[in-house]
Amino acid sequence: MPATRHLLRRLERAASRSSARLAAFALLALVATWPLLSTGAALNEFRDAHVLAHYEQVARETLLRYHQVPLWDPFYCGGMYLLGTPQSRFASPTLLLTLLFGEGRGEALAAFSMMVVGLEGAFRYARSRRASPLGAALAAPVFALSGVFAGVPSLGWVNFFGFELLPWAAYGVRLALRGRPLGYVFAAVALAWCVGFGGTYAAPMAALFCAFETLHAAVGQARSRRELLRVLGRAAVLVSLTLGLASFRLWPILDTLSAAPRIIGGTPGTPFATLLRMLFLRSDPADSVHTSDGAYYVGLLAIPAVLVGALRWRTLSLVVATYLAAWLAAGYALRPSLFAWLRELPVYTTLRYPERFLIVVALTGSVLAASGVTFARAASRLRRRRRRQAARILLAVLTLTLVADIVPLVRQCHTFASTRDLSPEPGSDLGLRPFHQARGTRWALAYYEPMNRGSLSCWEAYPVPQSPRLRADLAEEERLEDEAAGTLRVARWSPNRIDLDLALTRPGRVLVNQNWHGGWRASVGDVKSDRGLLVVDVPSGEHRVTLRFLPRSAVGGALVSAASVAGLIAIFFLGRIADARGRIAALAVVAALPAVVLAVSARLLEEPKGMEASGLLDDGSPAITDAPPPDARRLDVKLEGGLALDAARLSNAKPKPGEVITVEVDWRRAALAPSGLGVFVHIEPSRGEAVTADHVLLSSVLDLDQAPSGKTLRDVLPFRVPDDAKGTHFTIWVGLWRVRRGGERLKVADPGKGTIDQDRVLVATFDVE
Amino acid sequence: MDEASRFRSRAPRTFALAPYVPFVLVCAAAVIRSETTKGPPSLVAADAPLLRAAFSKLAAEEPRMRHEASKDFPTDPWSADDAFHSLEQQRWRAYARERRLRIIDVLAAMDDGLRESWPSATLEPLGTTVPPCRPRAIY
Repeated sequence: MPATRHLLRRLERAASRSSARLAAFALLALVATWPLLSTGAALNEFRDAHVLAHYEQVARETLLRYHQVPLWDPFYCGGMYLLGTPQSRFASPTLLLTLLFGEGRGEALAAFSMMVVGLEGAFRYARSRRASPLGAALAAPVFALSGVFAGVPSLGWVNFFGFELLPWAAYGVRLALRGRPLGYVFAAVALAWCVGFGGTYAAPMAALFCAFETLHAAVGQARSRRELLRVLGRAAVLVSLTLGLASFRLWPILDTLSAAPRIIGGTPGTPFATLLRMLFLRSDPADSVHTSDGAYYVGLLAIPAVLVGALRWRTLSLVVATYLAAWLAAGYALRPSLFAWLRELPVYTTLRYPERFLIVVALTGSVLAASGVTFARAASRLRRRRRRQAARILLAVLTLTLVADIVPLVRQCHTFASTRDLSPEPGSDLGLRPFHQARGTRWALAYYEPMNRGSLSCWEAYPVPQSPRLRADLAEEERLEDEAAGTLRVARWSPNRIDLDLALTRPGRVLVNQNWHGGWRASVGDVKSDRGLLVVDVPSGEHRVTLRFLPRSAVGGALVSAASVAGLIAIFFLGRIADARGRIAALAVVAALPAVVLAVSARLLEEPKGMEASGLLDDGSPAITDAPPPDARRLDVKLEGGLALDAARLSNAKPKPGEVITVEVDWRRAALAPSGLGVFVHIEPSRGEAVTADHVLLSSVLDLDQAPSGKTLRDVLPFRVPDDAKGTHFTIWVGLWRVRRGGERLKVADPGKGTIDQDRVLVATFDVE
Repeated sequence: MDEASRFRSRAPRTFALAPYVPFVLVCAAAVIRSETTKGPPSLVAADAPLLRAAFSKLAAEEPRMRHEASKDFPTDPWSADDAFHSLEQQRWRAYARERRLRIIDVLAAMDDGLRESWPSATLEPLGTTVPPCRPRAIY
């Protein structure tokens, strides 16, 4: 027994020494990511991996080949704001790995590095929760090697490694709320890194967890008003500095999503039993039924330590956090749905998969396990012999089970890595040909940038503003609309800058085969949007026209981030101010600094607002008009909540099989209408299967929530008549439902001239000839 | 502990780098492993006639694949187009595999053929535009 005690003491000491601990964590991460590191020179052929690797590759090439900051990506969707694309991950320290080793190898090394970061973060967070060094070190893999981190590399979702920063953010918040300057740095850097690393889940969920930590600290200080105010004051400073530090990326993302909102409908939910399978059953690639098994794997062997930890009074807040996270993870499957309430908040409306809150469960579970070991360790020093012996046995069991749990965690990493479909990395031996837009395919996107080709074929999680005028067959990507007006020569082309030599005998319009964005500016002439296409109106004469992409949100965001860095540095010197009032005043100045720079930047940096094309249908007609088209059939149906279906029309009541017809439904809304609505459409044939065409954006461009009141809101829906529909009679029913809320239909308050059935309105019928 | 002492910086501690050598060595092992690994073997670049033949054959299949894709999404042009691009790239990959061509060469040929109007075995015009990206809000 003395030998065991001695070993435990040595382990405890090693775990408390950062050098030994980091070496052990790095070794563990090395073993876990070995298959990834061994295949870094290959291309992951999964469709999402293509897109996400592409963003990183474009950022690398923009920096190394063109020596520009990666702001604009001309290689995808006809041109998009790269820094403002939520899923790109290059705005983070791991870009250095990509720059040094290339995208593929950089991706594998990013996985390795982020696992080390996550292990150390989980350790530190558990320590801040009073876990012993040994307990915290043993339990860290339960979070940092959990199923999500094992699985995401196979999908190419490298930005999910941003979740490894979650414990750092929580740890930083705990320190900052205790008045430790380093806490502000940890929390702000972790959250800003999270935002920079991309994805739409890690940062909002980390912010929520930090809010929980703040609430916990506030409740702990509730008895003393002064202490409570102190905690809240520090929290306010932290929020300001964190948002400020993340602004270099946050502002561009908000810029993008405000112009093209990511709209998520449906009422997703996961039964409790499935959540348990996700946490405790290992993934089996051969099992095509239970594909979600092990998606958030923490291992069955962690359970004893977690249970012991959960029985301790001091872990009550963690148990509550675990319960809340599990409740959120159940989504709409558990009523009342906490997730439904969360989605009422602005940023959280964009969350589609509630089960991802199991990542928080993995973290709290890890800390509970650490607490369990800590308890057993403390009890093993009790004076009463029997209790002491029982505690030693418990400590041995918990230690061994947590060590043993590492094996399936690592195997899970290897299992997922083995499922990848790998190909040779796309070579660039085609030479640097002049850039062209290709029709492309987003399913093989990673091949296009090495060819110096853009893929117009586009997928993203938000409706990328994309001009219908983009073409894939142009001999010249920059051309004069009126060729007789003069000549145009491309002097220099790069992602963020295009130099054109123009000799015009009369004013002319330059068409650039890329999407318009308000961040494009020209040295001569006016940059405009022509149905979303980037065009420049240039006066007559000889000019060198330089088109530059430098959006306000990138410049302003960088300034705000710089101000926040200054604020974080200043916090370290506040302790030198002897006077308490002076210190509070200085802290207030630090907190206000990012907001002041933000206000000044927003005021001084000008940019055209929004995407001009977003209010137009694909045929160029407006989506918002004063009245329905004159040939539309009046229905005058009133729905609850101040919404009305005024009229409808059908392009052809006697179509032929295979023909594409359109049905237009003209909506109108009151100023105070319910939010989170969507349109449901049922196209019912007299024989054969019905077609549903439920959607959220009217005519694919207009969000009902953002639409003006009192105007006609045109919802034009194409329908391709099935080939075998000859002689079939079709009826089209439409209505509104709370697609982003509970899923209920809006009731018809007044049928007007319409035919109503189960709160849906008959808008058209037709017979196929 | 008062506020001032909480903010007061601690006395600087000496920081020894030597204990971190094992950590650095493990990190170096990760870098070396990723740098020394080789990807799957790549095929040689195809010559022009082979690629023109690929374009002619594959472009001819476009109308059928578009028709097939639109069946699943009769009311959603972007989804129908996206489904077409999925079918198309599957076909291109299969063609490249059968003839031991590099997929990047086939992709380049399809682009060059479209831009330079290479002859194909179909009279139907090929798509030169795409519907704007409209991801479905509901799956």
